[in-house]
Amino acid sequence: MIEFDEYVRLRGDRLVRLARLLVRDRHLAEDLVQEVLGRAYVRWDRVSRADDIDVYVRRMLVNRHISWRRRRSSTEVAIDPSATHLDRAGLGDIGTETAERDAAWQLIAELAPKQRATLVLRYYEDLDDATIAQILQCSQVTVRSQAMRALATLRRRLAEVPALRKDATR
Amino acid sequence: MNDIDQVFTTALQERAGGDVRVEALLDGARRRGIRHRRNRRLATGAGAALAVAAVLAATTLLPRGAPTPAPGGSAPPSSADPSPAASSIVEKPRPPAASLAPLTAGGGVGEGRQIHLDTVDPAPFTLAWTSSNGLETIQASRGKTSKFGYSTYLAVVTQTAERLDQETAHMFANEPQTEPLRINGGATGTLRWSQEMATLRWQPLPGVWAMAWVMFHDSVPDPLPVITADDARGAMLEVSSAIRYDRVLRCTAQFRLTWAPPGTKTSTCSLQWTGTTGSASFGFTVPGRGTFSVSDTDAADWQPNTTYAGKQVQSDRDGSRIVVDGHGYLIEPGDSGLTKDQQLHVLTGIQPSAATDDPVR
Repeated sequence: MIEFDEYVRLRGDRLVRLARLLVRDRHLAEDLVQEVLGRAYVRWDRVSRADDIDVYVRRMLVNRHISWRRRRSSTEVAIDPSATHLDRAGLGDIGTETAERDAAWQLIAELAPKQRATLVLRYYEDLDDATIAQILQCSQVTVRSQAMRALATLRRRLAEVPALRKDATR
Repeated sequence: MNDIDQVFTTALQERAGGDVRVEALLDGARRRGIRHRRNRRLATGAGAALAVAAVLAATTLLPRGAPTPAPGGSAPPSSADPSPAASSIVEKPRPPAASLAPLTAGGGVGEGRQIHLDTVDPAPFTLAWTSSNGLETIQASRGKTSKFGYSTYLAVVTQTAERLDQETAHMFANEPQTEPLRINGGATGTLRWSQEMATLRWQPLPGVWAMAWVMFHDSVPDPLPVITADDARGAMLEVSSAIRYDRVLRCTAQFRLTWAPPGTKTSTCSLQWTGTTGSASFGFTVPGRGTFSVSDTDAADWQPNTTYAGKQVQSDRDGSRIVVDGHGYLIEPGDSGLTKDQQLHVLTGIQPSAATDDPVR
């Protein structure tokens, strides 16, 4: 059975990176992971016996994030300097690919929490639908439909960014 | 993966990047975990959460009479005081009175694992007490949120300031605001508060140290209102003036353990009281090991899945249950290190009995 400290040393880095994609603000992301791991610490005896500890902890992270977002919706401010407006994507002195990724990130960040989590788990964590369904505590069908809706929204909105229209439709 | 997918993947990888200070993360997570554990232990009355709904013995009311004047620093509130009006206090049913001296008459905190704390707040629909050597708690869940933004409060008393500080350390995630607070013209306590919670630490009686605690927003929907210093002061004055130390209530179980590991002693009594009924949970300390608990439970949803010594039991990962003569009992191993076999041995040895304050005697 893996000890708490060992788990955090092995997986803490990955959890913070995941949280950065869920929360946008880097300080809040680390705060979120500390909070979730703090709660896992209290019941580590149970957490460590889970069939898949990573799934368990990531589920805690996503749920906590959604709960936080509900509570902090009026106070969470994206102070990450990279979380800028879509207009930036049109600036001429930024390479098209960078602008494209900025725009893509900004659009992902504006998705509803569960849709964002679905895409992050699929594209960043590279998880299959079954595992994502376990983390989000929903069916695989729901995962697929969430992902499809999110991607359709992103593609449509990405194509609306003038500087990217050509690249988005290539 | 098409081009758009690649754009998203790359965008996410970029945003997720950057150094992560894992040791700082570990340190922060551990500190939060310790704080959560202590808060949870306090909030659940050191074991009251183990108790689940079950009906205990027939209700006995406290002896009636005029509300007893509050001792020391918790005198009846003045008209300027936001605490419940003393004249409107209607005492609700309580566990039977015990024949021990109350704290106001020299009784000791946790003496006999009986309850030396009460509240005259008429609002709570559920009260939970826990009593162990030198430490007692009372938790009240109100049916209506206070105008100061909380609906549950907790009071902890100990015999020494050191014990109180030890039991209540690390309650705040970040440094709270701190100021002295004069309690209804009596003692002066220390008020600490944040947007999440407030605490008041004071000495209500010689040899008794107390901390009251409220969580704000515990039943308030979004958006969350901002908690002001006046809210924190009002909440703490309200709670501290409702606590009483002039009575002793019985904390008893209606079961006995016919077997327990050698040297096991009863260490904690917890009682959860809703309306006119309650449920009890007892903690038992195994020498050199730790504490396990046995609680009354509802017999209704018992689903036996194995047998032990010829008796049907429901054995789950976190505990085991049995029903004896229509009464349900739950054993949880806690940090006792009891093997499953030992847990089931204890469980199947439970016998319903007359009310007792020491189920292993």
